[in-house]
Amino acid sequence: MKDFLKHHGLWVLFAAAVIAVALAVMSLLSNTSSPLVNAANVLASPFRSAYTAVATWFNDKQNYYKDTTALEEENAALRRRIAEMEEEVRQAESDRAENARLRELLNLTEQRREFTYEAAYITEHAVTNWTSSLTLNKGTAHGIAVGDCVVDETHALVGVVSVAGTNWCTVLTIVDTDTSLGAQVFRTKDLGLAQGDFSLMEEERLRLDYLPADCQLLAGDLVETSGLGGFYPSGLVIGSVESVQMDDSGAASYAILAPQVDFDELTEVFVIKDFDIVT
Amino acid sequence: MLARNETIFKWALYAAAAFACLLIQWAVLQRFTIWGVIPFLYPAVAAVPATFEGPAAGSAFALGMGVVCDLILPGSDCFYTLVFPLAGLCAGLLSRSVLRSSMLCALVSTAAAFALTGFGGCLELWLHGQSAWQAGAYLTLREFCVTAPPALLLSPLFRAVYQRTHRDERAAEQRRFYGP
Repeated sequence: MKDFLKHHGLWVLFAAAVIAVALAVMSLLSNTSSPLVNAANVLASPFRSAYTAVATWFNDKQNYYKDTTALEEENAALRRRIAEMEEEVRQAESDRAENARLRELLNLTEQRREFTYEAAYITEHAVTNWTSSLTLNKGTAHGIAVGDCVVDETHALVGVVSVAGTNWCTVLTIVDTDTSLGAQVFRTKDLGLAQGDFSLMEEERLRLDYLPADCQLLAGDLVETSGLGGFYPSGLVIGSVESVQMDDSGAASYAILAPQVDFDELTEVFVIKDFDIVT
Repeated sequence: MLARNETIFKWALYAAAAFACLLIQWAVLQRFTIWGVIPFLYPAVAAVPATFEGPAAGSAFALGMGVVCDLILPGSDCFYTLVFPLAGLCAGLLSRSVLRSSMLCALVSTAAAFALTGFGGCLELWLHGQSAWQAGAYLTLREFCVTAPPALLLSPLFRAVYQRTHRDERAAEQRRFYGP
């Protein structure tokens, strides 16, 4: 090794410098992740997946033997909830028929919501204390691009893709400080901006800013994406209002939101690669 | 003064030791949350070698470490590339002028590296319109407290690398001091 370095050390350094400059130029020209970041993560990806698989297997075994009392109680509560929802579905079917009749009478375009999903597994949760991120096992090879929304199986928003590599992508969750989304309160239709706040990130909460001073929010109000601007689809559930507070100026209020998603419990998510919404 | 091939060998050994630390961080430390934070070894890995190698070489090593961190950590852009050389410089100056290279010196250097990283993080948030100095300071304090025990082990690791690669230099010094 020493002899090799003695004879070829300068050439090795020269080659490293040339490669570094070439990679830097390629990074500038790339519109997804830089080649070095991509290469580092492509190499790490199988190890991440293997480690996550082992950890998940152990967690599953541990959970299997947990007390079933909690599950029985949850089951009873879910049965009650299903009965309520069945009643709501029956009402919704009659409303839908009425809506279709009225649309036909008024000659309105039919509402449509179409999403193209890509299912992905989480291979890594947050790796620093200063960001809230997830790494997924799918990337540009599967059609995922920066800015795509990521949801869970209940259609609740998890976050937005911030970097996409060949077979991996990084998602900044909705509580991360770099995340900012147009939002709307479902009940009052008030518009605001849902954004991560560093002081709240650790508690997995986010802020709903720029609300009108006279907004009448209540704790528990559902907040979803507004879809304004067309960057993100509308109607994805962000979370619910936990409390409403006035800002320092006293001219506007903001709400603290509790996300619908429990980030620690997530294992599988769905990336919205494309959407078409007509309202 | 080390020959060119010995210098390359030395930094290859340092890089291997740092890589081992990155593996431990990735495979073990970042899977745990203690006092609400993940132990974060990277600032210590950037700072501790500088306590042996001095400000100039230490800063260069920390710069490399910063580049690696920016490659593997999400949402950091070139944050660590900017902050870690400062941490290396501080650690190098500290070991040359205030404390001799020791575990205490490694601990103080690690504290300084965390302080710089925390300050940089808060500054970045402030530049993005979020004032989070208090929350950032509290997070940095907790990060340092939970990382200090594993970081202490870095001192013997990098000392071993230093002693292995400066053996001839130390022998020459001893000969000069004690005679042939």
